Amino acid sequence: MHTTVLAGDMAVAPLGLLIMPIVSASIASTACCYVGVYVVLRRIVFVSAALAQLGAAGVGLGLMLNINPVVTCYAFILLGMLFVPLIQRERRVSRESVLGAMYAIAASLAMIFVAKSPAEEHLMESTLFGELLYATKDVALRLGIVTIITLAIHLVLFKPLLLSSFDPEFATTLGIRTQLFDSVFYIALAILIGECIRAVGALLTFSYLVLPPVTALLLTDRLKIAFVISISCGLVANIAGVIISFHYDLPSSPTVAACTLLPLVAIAPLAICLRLSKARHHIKSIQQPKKQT
Amino acid sequence: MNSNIATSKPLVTVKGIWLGYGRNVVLKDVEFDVHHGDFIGLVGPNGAGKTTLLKALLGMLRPIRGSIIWHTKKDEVRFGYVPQRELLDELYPLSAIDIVLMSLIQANKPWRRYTTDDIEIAHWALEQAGIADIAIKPYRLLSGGQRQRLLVARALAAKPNVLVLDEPTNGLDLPTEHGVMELIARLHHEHSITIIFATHLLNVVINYANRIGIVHDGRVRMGTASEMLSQEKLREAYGIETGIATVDGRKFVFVKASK
Repeated sequence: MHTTVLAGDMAVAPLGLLIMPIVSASIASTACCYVGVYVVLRRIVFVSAALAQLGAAGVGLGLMLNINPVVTCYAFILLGMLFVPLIQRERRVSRESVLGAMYAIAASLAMIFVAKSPAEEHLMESTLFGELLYATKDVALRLGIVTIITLAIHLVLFKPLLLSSFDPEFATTLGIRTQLFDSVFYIALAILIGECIRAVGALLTFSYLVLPPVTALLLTDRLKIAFVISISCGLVANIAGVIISFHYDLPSSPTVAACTLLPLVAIAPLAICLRLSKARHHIKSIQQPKKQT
Repeated sequence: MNSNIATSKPLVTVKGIWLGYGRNVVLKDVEFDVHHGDFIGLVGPNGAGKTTLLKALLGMLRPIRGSIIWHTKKDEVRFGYVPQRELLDELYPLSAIDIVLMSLIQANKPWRRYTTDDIEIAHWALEQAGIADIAIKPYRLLSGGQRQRLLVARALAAKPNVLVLDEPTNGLDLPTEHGVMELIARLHHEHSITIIFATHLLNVVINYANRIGIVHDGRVRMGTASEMLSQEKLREAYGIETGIATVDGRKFVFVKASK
């Protein structure tokens, strides 16, 4: 899964070594930050967190039992996906509680499986937290294929996917099969999460799915612009995160994950000023006709 | 109100249907016809089963028993559906026109791009609903009345011949409620749209509907407005003594004070 490049070698390695990590992170973030806008809008942030942890637990089990971690990763994610519709139907316990429990169990299992795994220590850590600096061409290629498929599905089915999540009842009256489109959305999300976990870790995958989309949705009232801002925030975080982690010898995925917060911190004051100015303008436009009368 | 409506061929016949979710039966033995040009008011308390009945008419819920028979070809019935606006999430960064355009998504070609004709239809629908000036305004910044008009505009963009509205005046102040009701009445008269209107307030629809269905205790009692607006029928439906008054040509129902 990873090349055996030691952290000590990285400090003296040429900057060219950073290209593949940045490329891999950028591919992963492009898909995650796009789909993440839906994750936030559909209020299923906890679903993505739980699925990401389940994927990590799957990889851990694969390493522990010395079987292909890809198989166990997807098996765990798909198992978790089967629970999602059941959770939505359950009325006695809130959805957040069940997903919270699912997240806690998955995170515990991931750590137990990895702790009992005969694999090398850095491999175990990269399973849980990811290690972008070890990204290879193969990783980037796999991510690229999954990203192209995910974005193609979302762009071609943009309208029914949006309507099925915004107003499923109305979509049904138009003859749109909302359950089918929901299934397409969740399967695409599961495959994306599974692939990203293996490349960049559960933590960074989850960060991509939440922080850039939240930043985008705070900044704009236009959905298409929200997608562009979200992807841009992810790309900025990748470049900043990989360079910082390389320069200060920090673990790469957690550093990039922390950097996904940077655009929000940098742009939030500007956004607040813009909104205040808009509000003042709105109040003035309401008051002006009154003065004239 | 057109007196010929009841004698015309029905658009749909609801024949002894039972409706519910899983083992929970919400409505039993529901029977009525809907005719072209009807304005039907479905009235009942929250949770009585009005939305359930609307869902069955829209084909979203299959009856446990009985059948809903449409007397026209399937593609001749074009529904316009106005859901309860509380169900829509204002988190979505969508403008008014984005929401109206949703009506023009084709189930068999969902990837189709919006044409200039589609955009013109959306603007026409907004104009019909009296909110042409808010086309690019974000949904979350709209008032309750504007949101309701927007949902009516979205339903209109589909050029419906049956408009199904679920509690469209819920939570609106008196002038806004009146404005929305007048809009629906105008659409009913000018475009000959059949209206099926669910509300928990009888007084909202009694001056507009030609037929009223009272949804109560798992039953639907349907009749013409004059039939249903009798003290006897209202006592039968609600189990309380009511009075009916007419002020300035407009009727309203009130609960009589207990002696």
